[in-house]
Amino acid sequence: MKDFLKHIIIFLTLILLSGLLKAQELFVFTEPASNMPSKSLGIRASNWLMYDKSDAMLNYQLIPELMWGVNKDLMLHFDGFFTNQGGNFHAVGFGTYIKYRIYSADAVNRHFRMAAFARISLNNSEIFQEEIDLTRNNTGYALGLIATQLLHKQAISASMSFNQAYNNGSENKFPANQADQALNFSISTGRLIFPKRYLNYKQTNVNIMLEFLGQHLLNENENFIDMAPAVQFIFNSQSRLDIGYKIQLYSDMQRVAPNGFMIRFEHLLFNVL
Amino acid sequence: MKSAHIYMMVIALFVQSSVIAQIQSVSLQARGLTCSMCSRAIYKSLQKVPNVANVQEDIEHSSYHVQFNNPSLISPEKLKKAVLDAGFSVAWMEVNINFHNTEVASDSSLKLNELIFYFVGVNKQILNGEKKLLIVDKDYLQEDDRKKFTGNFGSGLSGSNGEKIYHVTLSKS
Repeated sequence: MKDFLKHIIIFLTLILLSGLLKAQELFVFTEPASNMPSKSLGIRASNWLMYDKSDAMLNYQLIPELMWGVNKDLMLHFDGFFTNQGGNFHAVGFGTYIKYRIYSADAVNRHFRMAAFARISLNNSEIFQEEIDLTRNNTGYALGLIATQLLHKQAISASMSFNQAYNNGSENKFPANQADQALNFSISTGRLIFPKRYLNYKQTNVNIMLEFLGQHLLNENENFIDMAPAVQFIFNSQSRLDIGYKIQLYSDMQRVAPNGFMIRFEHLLFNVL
Repeated sequence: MKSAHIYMMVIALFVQSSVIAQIQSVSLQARGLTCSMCSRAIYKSLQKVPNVANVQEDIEHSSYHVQFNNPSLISPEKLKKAVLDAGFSVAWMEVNINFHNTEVASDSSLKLNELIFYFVGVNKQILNGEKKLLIVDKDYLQEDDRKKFTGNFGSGLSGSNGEKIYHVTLSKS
């Protein structure tokens, strides 16, 4: 299994670094600095299927998300958090994500953009790991910056954020012996592999992505780094299917389910508002 | 009967000479994108602009050809805003105009309905047939290309009757 994964990773890296393909920045595990079009709505359903090391079960988490391009610089996300934790499928919280474009320099087929973002999440699930994850497990807020460089053949995006976790409601206090602050960082790259020539909007696009996601727990001085390859299909220039796999490369913090699949469907409604 | 015929010919001549130039369509290229989802966002945004009848896209080159229900009432400003609203910028925008013995020169202007085209970097000449006027105002052309046109002009200048002034030059192509 390890050798197989290694081969896949080497293959993906070679494809991503080859100068043959066009860049793509619609990343799967992170957000690019670019915004969705203004007056448009996006609907997203992210399904996380993670192997739980503690009970050898499959954790299933569903995150439905509504995305709104308020204007050309501002976008808002509203998401809900559902899980099968404890045996029954139930809601555990909701959150809001705001992204604001602060800088952009565009050329034909090229741009550099920066955006600032903030997230607030409320979650009442049990806290059973040191990792702070405001999209699935923790109550808290995050503040961050994203920079995306898009060259004709290469899109590279990097992000960094400060995360503060709080009690998950009154019943699930944040453990006093755990770090409640973390720095998250990511680096992402993506390529278009099909079609070779864009002729019309009905052509299905196939993109591949490779992302590295990390966290540093402040005060505890503990870290993890995950690698997350993904394949993405874009249908009719309007709908997206992402299939990604996240694997832990390094960690010295306690995490329950770092490895597994993420399958996401997304549909964009242009000019509906 | 014969005099009525001559009378109509005179009217026809008068109308002909007053129609010095007619706007046909607008072409533009967007910048800052490579994905088809992005390209479609611009396409959809352009389609929503009032008076737009049809948008033809060239996805590979991120360029669009826009036709209008009433070409004399076009608004380059609204087209530019549509591209910006989709999250991108304008690389260049050209207004395609059919000329009839129209004299143009630098620092002269041509008024077509609610639009005033102010020429820069153009030798004195008489135009006939379809020509492309490249808008050289800020946000209508990449900064590198704008540098060629000297003079400090901004966008948003208005004529004496509220008409919008666009600084233009003749496209090479």
